[in-house]
Amino acid sequence: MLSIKNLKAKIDNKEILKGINLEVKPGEVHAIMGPNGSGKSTLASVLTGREGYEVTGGEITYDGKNLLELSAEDRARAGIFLAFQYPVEIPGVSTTNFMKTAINEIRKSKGIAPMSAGEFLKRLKDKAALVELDVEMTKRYVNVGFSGGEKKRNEIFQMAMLEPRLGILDETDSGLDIDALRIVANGVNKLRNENNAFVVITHYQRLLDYIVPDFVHVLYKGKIVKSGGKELAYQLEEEGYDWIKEEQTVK
Amino acid sequence: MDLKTQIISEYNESSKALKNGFVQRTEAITDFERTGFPTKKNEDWRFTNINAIVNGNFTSKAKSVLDAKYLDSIPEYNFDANIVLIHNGNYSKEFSKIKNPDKNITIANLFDTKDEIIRQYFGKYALSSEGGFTALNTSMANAGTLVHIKKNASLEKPLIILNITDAPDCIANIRNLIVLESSAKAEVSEIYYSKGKNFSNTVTEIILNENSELHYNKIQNSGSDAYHVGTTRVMQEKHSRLFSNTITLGGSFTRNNLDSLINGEGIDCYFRGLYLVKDDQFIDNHTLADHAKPGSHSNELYRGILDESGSAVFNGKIMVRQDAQKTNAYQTNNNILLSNDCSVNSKPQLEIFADDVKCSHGATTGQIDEEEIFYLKSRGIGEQRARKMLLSAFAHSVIDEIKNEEIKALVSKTLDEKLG
Repeated sequence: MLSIKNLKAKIDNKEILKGINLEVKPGEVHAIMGPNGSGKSTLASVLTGREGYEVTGGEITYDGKNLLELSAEDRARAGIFLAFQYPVEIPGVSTTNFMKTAINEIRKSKGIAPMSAGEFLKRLKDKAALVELDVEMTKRYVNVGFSGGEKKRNEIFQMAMLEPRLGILDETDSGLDIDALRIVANGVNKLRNENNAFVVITHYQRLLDYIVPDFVHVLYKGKIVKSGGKELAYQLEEEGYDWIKEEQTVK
Repeated sequence: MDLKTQIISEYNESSKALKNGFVQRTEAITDFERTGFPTKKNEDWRFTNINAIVNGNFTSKAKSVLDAKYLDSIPEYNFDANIVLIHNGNYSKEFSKIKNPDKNITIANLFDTKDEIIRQYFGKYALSSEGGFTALNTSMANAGTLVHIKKNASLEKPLIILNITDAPDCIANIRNLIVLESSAKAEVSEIYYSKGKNFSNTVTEIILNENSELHYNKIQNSGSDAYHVGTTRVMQEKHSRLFSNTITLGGSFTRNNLDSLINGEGIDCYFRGLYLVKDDQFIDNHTLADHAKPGSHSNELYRGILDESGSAVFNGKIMVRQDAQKTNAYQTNNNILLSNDCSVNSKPQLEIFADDVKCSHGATTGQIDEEEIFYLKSRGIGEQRARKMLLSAFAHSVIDEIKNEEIKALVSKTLDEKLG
């Protein structure tokens, strides 16, 4: 589904990604861990088409297409979703209106007629229940006046609404208390199926207690330096990142 | 002949036909002769170039026939409201629709009615000695609307004063007087429609007595060659409430003056405004919240969207006089610039002579937030649609304050079309 080969990227003339390789297949959950500044969020930004990043080498294919040629909106329409580390407040636009517009823009790009009001309302209610979000919250302006936890829950709610094939969670666990973490993780787990995949970017192992990954990758200084199963996450939790750093220095 | 000379000569020709004992026309034309039109040397007109008006060859003698078909194409004409129709500065009795006059309510041609209230208030708050446009209006206006709501009465259906100016090169001088007695309530909208090149010059005086409440909308959405200068002067007595919305999406040149004298305690005064300039449109809003007595509240929000070579001025003044302790006064002006050629002069002014007050003002001028754009795009919304959504949301914080649902919907629709 997603194939990243030797990806290199710069921001402000500084090389952040120095040759990433990653294969994601349908049904899989990949965790990407790493110390601060290792390039985790840059990877999320490059995957979703945020401006300001310059890809200097390598390739990303998604469903056989060159992802780097697509605009941010076309990537979303192709089924890629980013749950933001810092969700954006949009005063004046309600979450309901935001989601209705997004769903219908995605449908339009595929030549499908707009979703009926009834179907939309049903999906809204179902998906709000999935992340234990009060439906009244969706009438409010997007993220305005929301707590940190509510914003992250709203990200997962949006993901549920749009039913992406590839969900990228950028440090969704940061700033969450344990209850919110459980709710967010439950939401993701209910969305998992054999046709979709998730890339979960996190600094800490604790999210992975709830969203159990098939693969764990350690990103360090712009490269994936270690890959393994979920046990690698436990090892990182126990021992921190220092042994990774040391291994890299020895090499 | 320059416009000033021409107006004076037209006044001399027609003054005998302009009657009404309550208007001091001779004094007004003398004021106009003395002051003329303001220039950039006048602090209130520093950023406002009125050459296009002064050199515009306008005449008060221009005429046109009102076309019923055209009227039907104006949505507001068929709104569920009382309609006063002012055509090229003349009151059209034939096409006005006053639906629910009762003995406590007067809606009439200001210059054709004998209500004693006119003598009491006319020209009391908008003085012809204060400036050329008001002097011109006072000397020449021969039509406009009197709204008089007696004590405890409410105007059941809103009133729309529909000002249609479509005679070529016409000057329409329009004069309104709105008086709400104590505990009276009303909703009044001045709506401007124009075709071709013309100039409308309006003065509206509003008197809000104790505990009265007025929703006042001033809307100019049409006309690419329309010039408009409008002055609204409000006098608020204690516990009165003013909710004003000044929406300017059309016109070539627009100057809106809005002042309220906050003359008692427990007063609420809301000034809201929205302006959108494109092409080489110019829109200027000058406001004054003048707190003369203690314990009142004013709150102002004006927002502007500027594109292409459009330009705008916002000059908002809060005056808190020495007696006006415990005043709460707030003001915000936000502008979004969409092109490199557009410009805005935003000038908030606070003059505070009392020491126990809460006042704040803030002005921002910037671009659309690119992070917000990316957020919308990351959900599959196209770039253009995303930009429009954000601009519309920015404007709706003003539009949503309009109480009249029909007017609100029409303003939304017009904005939508203008944003492309």
